[in-house]
Amino acid sequence: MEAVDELARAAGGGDPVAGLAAVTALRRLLEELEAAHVVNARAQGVSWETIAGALGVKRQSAHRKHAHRIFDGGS
Amino acid sequence: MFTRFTPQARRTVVRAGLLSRDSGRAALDEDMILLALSEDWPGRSTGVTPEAVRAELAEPGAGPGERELLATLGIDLDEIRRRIPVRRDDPAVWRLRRSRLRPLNVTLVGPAGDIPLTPRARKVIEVAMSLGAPATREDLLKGMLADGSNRSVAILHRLGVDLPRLAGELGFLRRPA
Repeated sequence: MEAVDELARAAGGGDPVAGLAAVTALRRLLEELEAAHVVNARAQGVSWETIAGALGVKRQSAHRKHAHRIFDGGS
Repeated sequence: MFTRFTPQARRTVVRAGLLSRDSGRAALDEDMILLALSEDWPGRSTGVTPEAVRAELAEPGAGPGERELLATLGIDLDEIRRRIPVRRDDPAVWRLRRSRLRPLNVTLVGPAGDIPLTPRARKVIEVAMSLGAPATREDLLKGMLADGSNRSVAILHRLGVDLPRLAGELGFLRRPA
């Protein structure tokens, strides 16, 4: 954990690049979380309408972004 | 495309994708297929361990990993992963998808997002599919060996693997003219 503490100090103050790299990692994590939750919601029968509402986007945008990831038994 | 793979080969490709993602890479490259294969060698073991492959993959001067970066923000990546509602390492929820408009683009899509394959990784997959119906883990290994300029081939060579012999064992030797 020593390395993390050191890195945290760098991200918090001194080193702006470490902070930016942390934000990029967070953005990737967010994308992964969103994908996982949409896949899960669809698997449980939640409508695209409801999913889009919860994500705060239009139904069409949610569908365009995530529909290809929904497993339909195909390839 | 995954319907043309054995379940084991499919699991290996998904594993390679997740390994790429977890090391902060944006794409799935063929060296991660080597790492995924090394966790459980198909056929006779080459004696190469995943740890040895990892050591070869480590880019000198590479920054801290995702886990450490997120920890600086007070985020515990492992705890978040534990709370994710879908099993990200379940091969059944992943697909390999070829773009209709750009057929050279192949992407691994699943609950952890979209992971595009590099051209080299795509070639490994394509050679494997051309060799086996369905493609096996051995076919993936053959696909990797098919291109001598692959990074994974160089790694195996550096780790002391006798490549011609390995190819011979796989029945993958070009006959002398």
